[in-house]
This record gives sequence, structure tokens and C-alpha cells, in this order.
Amino acid sequence: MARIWELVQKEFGRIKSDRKGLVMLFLFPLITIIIFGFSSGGGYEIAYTVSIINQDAQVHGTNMAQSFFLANNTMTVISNYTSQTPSEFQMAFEEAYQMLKNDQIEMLVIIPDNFSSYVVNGSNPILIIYTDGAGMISSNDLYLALTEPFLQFKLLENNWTGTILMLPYLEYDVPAGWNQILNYMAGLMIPLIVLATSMNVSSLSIVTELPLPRLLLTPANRRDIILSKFIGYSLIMVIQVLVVFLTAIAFGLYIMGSPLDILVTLLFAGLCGVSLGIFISTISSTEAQANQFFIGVFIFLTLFSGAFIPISDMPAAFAAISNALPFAHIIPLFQNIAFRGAHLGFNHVYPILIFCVVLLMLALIAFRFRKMEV
Amino acid sequence: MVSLQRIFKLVIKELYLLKSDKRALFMAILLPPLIMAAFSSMAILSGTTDENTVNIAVVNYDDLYFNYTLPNGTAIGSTENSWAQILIDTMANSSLTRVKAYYNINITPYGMLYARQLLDQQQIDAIVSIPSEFSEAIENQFPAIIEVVPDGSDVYSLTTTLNNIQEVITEFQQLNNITPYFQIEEHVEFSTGGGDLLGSMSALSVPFLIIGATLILTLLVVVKEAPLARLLMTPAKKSEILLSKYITYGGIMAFQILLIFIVNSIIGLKVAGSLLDFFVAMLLVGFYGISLGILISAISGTEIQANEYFLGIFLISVLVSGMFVPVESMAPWLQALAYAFPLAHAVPLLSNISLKGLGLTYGPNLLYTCSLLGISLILILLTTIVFYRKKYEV
Repeated sequence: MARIWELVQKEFGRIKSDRKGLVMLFLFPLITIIIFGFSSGGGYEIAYTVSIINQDAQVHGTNMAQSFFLANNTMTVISNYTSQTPSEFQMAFEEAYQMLKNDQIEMLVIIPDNFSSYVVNGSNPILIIYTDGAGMISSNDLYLALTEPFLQFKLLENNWTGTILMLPYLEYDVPAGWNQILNYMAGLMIPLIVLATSMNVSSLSIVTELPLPRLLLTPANRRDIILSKFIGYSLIMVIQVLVVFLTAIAFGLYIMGSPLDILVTLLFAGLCGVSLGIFISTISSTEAQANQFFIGVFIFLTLFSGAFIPISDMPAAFAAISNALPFAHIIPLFQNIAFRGAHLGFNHVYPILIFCVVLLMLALIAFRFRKMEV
Repeated sequence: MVSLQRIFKLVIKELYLLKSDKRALFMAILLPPLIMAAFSSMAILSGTTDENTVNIAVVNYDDLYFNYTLPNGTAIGSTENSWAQILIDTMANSSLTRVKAYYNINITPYGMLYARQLLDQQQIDAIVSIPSEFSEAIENQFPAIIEVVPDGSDVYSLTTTLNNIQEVITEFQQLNNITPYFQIEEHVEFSTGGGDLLGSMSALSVPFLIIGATLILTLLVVVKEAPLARLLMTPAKKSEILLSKYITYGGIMAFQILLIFIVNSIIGLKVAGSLLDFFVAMLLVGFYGISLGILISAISGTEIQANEYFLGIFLISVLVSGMFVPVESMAPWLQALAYAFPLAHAVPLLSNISLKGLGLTYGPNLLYTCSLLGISLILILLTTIVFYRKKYEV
């Protein structure tokens, strides 16, 4: 133990020797979390940008168009055309469609010329809607998005016949008054920052250490060296996590459960990063290799985290891979504590710990077989 | 005068330097396409995003007996629940919702409590509560209300949950002729199709991967090169050394991108626009990556510093990319920062080419293309200034 402690002190001495690097070690996580805090300063709002082409000159058609202006919680009307003739419609359609193509609007609503007659007859009026399929939100949430303008229309017409109103009461959401985007994104972004920073610094821990072969001539054995590096970089990671955690709290991180549980979750993310970093460093023989491994692993972890494609939608083999990786457990753990007030769930904690232990053992094996010349 | 012959020799020297660490070179070229292949295969095999079935528990209060008189004197007393039953059947038969649990409050008074437990255990996405006057409201042509308690912890699935329930309500109206309801004739434009996630995902994953791979490729090219000071004692000029690095790493970057492009094409990426435009857009993103990577390398004093600069810049670039937080919702100064980084331009540029078929210089793409190119040139200028001012000791 005394030898390991001395080796840990040696690690700190080595890290301290690059003062600028040492400052950046804590400065960059701080800067990233500050930028994340500012980037999510606005409320979570979805206002669909929309163009309207009204072919119906009668009152009901005008009311329908007006409803989109009044539904200003979900709709922002960018342009409104009234067309009576086919040529007018053609011109308006081409212009509005071009706007849809150029990302200026997300939705094009056409009110057909027979709209009012349908309303007068008490039958079901038709709306023709073009959505931007490249923007993932508008095409998936069309019915929800149209709820407000439809209700505004009924309000204008003062006719509630056939209305079935859905009233949502959100559970486990971020309460009003809290930074919405920060908190909804925190479950992914904060562990991502912690894991990346801890993995980055430890991925060069062995590969850059030139006196390592000479160290092996002393009583220090390979296991002691790996353990001391793991302890040393874990202690640095703890400070990094504290910096990130306290800054996130300062920016309004909403935690329904215990803040200590969130801190422990972030420490788990950091431990995964340190284990991965040390493993990368043991299997790399140059800094360039370690860097290549680092970015490869980091991008792989991010793409398979479930943030891009939900794990439940993945094919079984890919879902199994994702579930073996740390983000599949860290993200739900974070969200369950922050939003549901849950405690540290061992169904998620055990896989994270197993991941760290397996990587550490792999690092020990790789380091044991590593050839080093004095 | 810049000598082309000298630049050529310096390029050869750079290639030798790269060849000296064959494993790193091998990884630089092979890792990005391998990761892309794994991710693209997953995207192509994964389920569709626009028809996720939502798990619900239905709590029915409509079976409760009540009796009261309206202000106009009409007496209402009823145990009518036929419309609630029809709505539940519609939900059970729809592909948009799956009824995991049903509680009739008349039989199970603590049904809402049990439903909440299911929500808490994440076994369902929402509770649909049908109030006691639901059937009567429809019978008497009053507005009928349905209460929904969705799981609000995941903002992305929340919108799908509410949208699906709203769509099932419309189905219920259509099937039972509860008029008038709005008929929506929907045209989804610029989409690669229901089950194909690859198109939309490529616009996000490709630039993310290219920026990461090219930054790492060039991160150590200046900071690590120990004989650089001695090289400056030869006729080779700083401008030639720098140019040779851009040429060498530009070539490797182009090869990396070609492999990523081929892998994506083999796996089945559909590009609505020109394939050449898509490839050139990828090259522009890569060019930005190597410009930034060489700048980081030039301003760093040690390899560890370069690594930390890289990580900070890469993470900030991802944070302000618009992938997670829309750029429009950021503060104006942060929007300016977002547009100084590549991903805020690269993601819409690739998306516009692959999904909308827009040309590289067409409409909004012209701005994205010019921005990527312009900022890359500014980065090269900055690198040149730093490189010229940097002191080297033999």
C-alpha cells in the first residue's frame, strides 16, 4: 500500500509538472458546462413555422387561417396567401414550397376552396398539409401541433360540436421556472462531458510516461503501477466531477431526488472514463495511437448511447452492445434520480461497476504483456 | 520563393513520418469507416421513428353513477359508458397505442393509484383517464374531455406519446362519425421513407465522426514533431512546411472520407441530391477539421495541452452544434459561437443535400458552404500567424 501511495504521489508530481495542462484539466470541463448552461438558457418551446394558402374566401376559411395566427403557443405564421384562381394558387404554392425546401418554414397548410361549405354542412372539413420530413419533429408531432389552431378555430366559430379535448398533466417533468432544456439534456450531456474529460486525461497516462521501464527495475510491480494510475487519475476525476456538478447546480440543475445520488452517478461516469482511458493507454504504443483509440471509443460510445437511436428501437444484437456500454445505464440512472426522485438503482449500478472492473482487469493483462525496454 | 519541389519532398517526409507509426495510420484510416458501418447498420435495422407504439394504462371513471340538474333545468342521471368502451376498444386496436392495463373505477377504486405505480415503474408511457361525463358529453354534443398523464421525464418520447393519443382520438371520431372533425391530408416531403433512419441519422453522425477523426489526425502534427527546429535550418521555409502538412493530411482526410462515403453507400444511404455534392460537403467538413486540428497543434506547447485543447473544442463544438439544443434557442452571443464551429453548418448542409436534394450552393446551402470554407481559411491564416511567431530551439 505504501508503494502504491508513493506511486500516486509520483503521478501527481508528473501532472503538476505541466502547469498549463493542469489548469486546462479543470478549466475545460468548467468552460464546457458553462457553455452548456448558457446554450440551454431558453425555455423548451416548439413553435412551428408555417405558411398558409387560403383558397376559401368565405368566413370559415378566413377563420381557419386566423386560427393559426391566434395559436401562437405552437405556431408562427411566416406567410399567408389568399388565392382565388388556379394561377394564383400555383404561384403561392411554388413560393411556399420553396420556403419549405429552404428551411424557412416547417409546415405548409392549404385551406381548400370547399372548406366553408363543409363547415356549413356540418361535415368534416379537409386541410391539406405539407410537412418537412427532414425536420424530425414536425412530421412526427403533426396531430399534437395542430391541436391549438383547431381549438382556436372552434373558439372563433363558437361551435364545440364534435370536440374531444385531450388535457395533458405531465408527470416527472421539469417544473415550470426551471431551466427546461438544461435539465432535459443534462442526463446525456453532463455524463458525456465527465466521461470524455476523465478518459481523455487518463488515455495518455501510460503511453507518455517515458521513465516507466526504469520504474519497473524498482520494487514497484506492474499491478502497483496500474492501480496507482487508476487511483491518481480517479482523484483528479473527482475534482473534475465536483467542478462540473457545482457549476451545473449554479445553472439551475433540477434534482428531485438526492443531489448526492446524482454526484455518485457522475462519479460512476468518471470511473468508466478513467478505466477506459487507462485501458486505451496500455494497449497503445504511441500518443497518436492513444488519441485515435480515444476518439474512436468516444464517438462509438456516443453513437451507441441511445441518444441518436433509442435502445428499445435497436435490433437485439446492437441493443445488447449498447446495454454493455456505460451510457445505457448512466443516462437512465441520472434521469431517474433527477426527474423521478429515485435512489441509485442497483440494476444500473452493477453493470457500470462490472464495466469498470472488466476494463481495469483488461488493462492489467495488457500491461503485463506489454514489452518495455529501458 | 516557394519551391514546389521542396514542398513535394516535405510531403514525402510527412508520409514517412506517418508510416513510422503504421498502427496509428491504420487506425486513422480504418476506425472511422468501421464505426460508420456499425452505426449505419444499426440505423438501417432499427425500427421506424414515426410510428412508435405507446404503452398506456386506461382508467375509466365513466362507469360511475351520477345524477344532477343542469342550470337550464335538464336533469342528467346516468351510468352511460358506451362511448368510453368504444374509445378503449379503439385504443386497444390501434397500432399507435397498446393498452397495458385497464381499470374501471367502479370495480377497482384504487385504479389510478395502480396506474401511477405502473408509470413510476416505467412500464407505461402514459395514463389515459376517461372522466365520468365522457359518454354523456358525446351523446349531448358537448365538448368531451380526456385527461392524459404522460411520463414527462423524456422530452422526446413525450411528444410522440401525446401525438399518438391525439391521433387515436381522431381515429375514434372518424370511426364513429363524431362530427365535425378535421380531416388531414398529410404530405411528408423530403423524407427517405418511414423505416429508413439512415438518411436523417447520417446528417448528424457523419459530420460528428468526420470532425472527430480529422481533429485527432492532425492534433499532434506540429506539437509532436521534434525535428521541426532543425528542419528550419535547411532551405525549407515555414510556409512550405505548413503547406506540406496541409497537403499530406488533406490527402489522408480525403481518403478517410472516401471510405466513409463508400461504406455508407454500400449499406444503403439514399441521397436525394447529387452524390458528388454530398461527397464535396463531407470534404468541406473534413477540411475544417484539419484546419482546426493543425491550429490546435500549432498553439499547443505539449502533447497533453494539445489533447486538452482538442477535447475542449470538440465538446464545445458538439454542445453548440444544434444536435441537442436548437441553435435558435441560444443567446445571441452563443449563436455566434455556434456558427463559428463546423457542426452548426455541417448538419443542415448534409441534411439538405441528402434529404431535400438541394445543391451544394443552392438556397441556404450556399451560406453553409461559404461559412465552412471561409472559417477554414481564417483558421489556416491564424495557424500561419501562430506558426511564424512560434519560437523553435534546436
